[in-house]
Amino acid sequence: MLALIFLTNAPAGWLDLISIVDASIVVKNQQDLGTAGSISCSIRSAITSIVSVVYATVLTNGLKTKIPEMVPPVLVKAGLPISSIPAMINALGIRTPEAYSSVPGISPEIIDLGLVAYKEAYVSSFRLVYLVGIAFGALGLLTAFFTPNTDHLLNAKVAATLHNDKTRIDEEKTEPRVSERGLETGKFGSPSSPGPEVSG
Amino acid sequence: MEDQKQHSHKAAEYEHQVEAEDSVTEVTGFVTDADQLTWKYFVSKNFIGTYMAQALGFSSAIAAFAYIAPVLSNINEDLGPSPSYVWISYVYNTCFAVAYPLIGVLSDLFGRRYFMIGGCLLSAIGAVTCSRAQNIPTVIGGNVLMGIGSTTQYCYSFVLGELVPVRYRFITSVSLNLWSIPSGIFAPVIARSFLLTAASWRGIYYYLAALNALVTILWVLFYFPPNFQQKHGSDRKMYWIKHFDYGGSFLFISGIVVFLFGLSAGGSVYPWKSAPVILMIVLGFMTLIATGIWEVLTESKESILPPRIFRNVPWLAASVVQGLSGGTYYAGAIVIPLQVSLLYNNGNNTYMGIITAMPAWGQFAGAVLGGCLATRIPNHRLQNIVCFMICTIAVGCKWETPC
Repeated sequence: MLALIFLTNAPAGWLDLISIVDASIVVKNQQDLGTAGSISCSIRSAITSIVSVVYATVLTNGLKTKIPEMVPPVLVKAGLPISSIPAMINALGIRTPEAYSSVPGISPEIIDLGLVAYKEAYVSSFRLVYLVGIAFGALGLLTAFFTPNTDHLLNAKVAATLHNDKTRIDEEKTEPRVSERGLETGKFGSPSSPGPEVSG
Repeated sequence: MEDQKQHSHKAAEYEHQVEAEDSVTEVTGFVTDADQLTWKYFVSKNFIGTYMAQALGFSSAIAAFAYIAPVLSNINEDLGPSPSYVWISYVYNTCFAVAYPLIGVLSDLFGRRYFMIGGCLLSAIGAVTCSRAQNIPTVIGGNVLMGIGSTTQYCYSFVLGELVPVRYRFITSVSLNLWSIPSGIFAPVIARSFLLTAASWRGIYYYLAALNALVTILWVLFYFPPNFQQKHGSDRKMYWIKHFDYGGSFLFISGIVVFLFGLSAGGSVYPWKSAPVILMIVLGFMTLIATGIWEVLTESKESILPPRIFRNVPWLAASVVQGLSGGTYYAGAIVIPLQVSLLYNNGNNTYMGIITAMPAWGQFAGAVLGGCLATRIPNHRLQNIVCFMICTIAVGCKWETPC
């Protein structure tokens, strides 16, 4: 069980980390890094919140149908009066001796049989959740075929540097400015009509 | 004439970029190379100060959610009880979804310094508000501030990523994850130990307020990334403020908020089939589609969701797999605690604790291992594929034998 949990989550953590960084590396214009990086985070949190809502809904709906379907027949067969069934299902949710003793017509055998049926109802709901998990995994597998290979991009280039104070700006002027090299090599021209000193 | 030439040159370059869609062969927009930066740059007080600010900021952003989640019911008993207390955790997703794109595009345009400082300050104010709260709505309000503030601190992938050479971005992310151990993996233990102190859950907010105040000071003292003048030269700020994509922002924010509220309310506050839930999800979704159309029609440098970013298929795939890898985590996060209390409840608390903590540890171990080996093992696409295969097969085994 522990190994299975580890085998599910370790690869997930692995691909999660390299994909976060790869998503920042393949941004074609690194001056867009903030925009692309944050939209990437946004997509990630939108998908995880949808996925967790789906799981929670599948689980509650599963329990809502499986418990009434699987538990009462066993209880009735074991000899519990039909009128005690709602109280017994409540007691199975709490699982303390006090809870069981408040159910009319209870016996140790009924508790044992009821508990097994109750656990089976839960297990079959868990299976529904994992079934949906397989579907999401398969979807991920499909998407993974479109993920980037970044080997050739893993260089020593730096997208931004820190500056001690504002006086450093004057030194920078010998180099072309970021906006000329980066942002404006794309589709769009300069927004403010460029004067001679800007374009020069 | 000159202008036309320049224009056609730009258009050709753009087409070239679009052609190269499926395989990103060329990346532009770097300012320097590591060869030109001496090692002194990476041990300068600004670099180390910025690193510490981001590390502690990231840690406190995780703690803001992870320390509070285990004590939510205690807060509710103390100040309520009010059925609306669940919104204390619901607001986070909404804050993230709204704040991420805004922070990204605005800090690209105007410089990141004041966004990081402001975000952290907002978190500190939120924590103080919550620590003095006398009712649940105040705690929810404080958490909205902290949710928006936390978003800025979660942006390490580009805030710190852009400052280091590309090949070191992996190891930088791994090292930041190590800083998050106390606020991530040990959160339930630490949060419950706060309950034993005289301050109870308010102690968590005192701690968060102090930590965020410290991080704010670190950002102020050491973080000097490219500012507006360095990005745009002599351009007037007013021009950029006036031409910001307000229409797109409005559509996106209203769409995503309504959509996520519908999703959160469905099955809990209202049943799924009720009118408010269906209406919110449908309206929200349609507004998001309208946002997409708007963005395509009005694409500019200041678009909040620029289509040029979405045309980058490898980028889109890398973003989507992150979300889906979270998908495998949440299946366990929801089911495993129930499995433990119902099926493995043998009275051995250590054993039960280990199983409950296993998904988080597995995720963490995988991230550290993957990040450290990312530059040594080539072919990340194949790594992603293999990871998803193992993951899906393991989930399949759990489906086959859930006990």
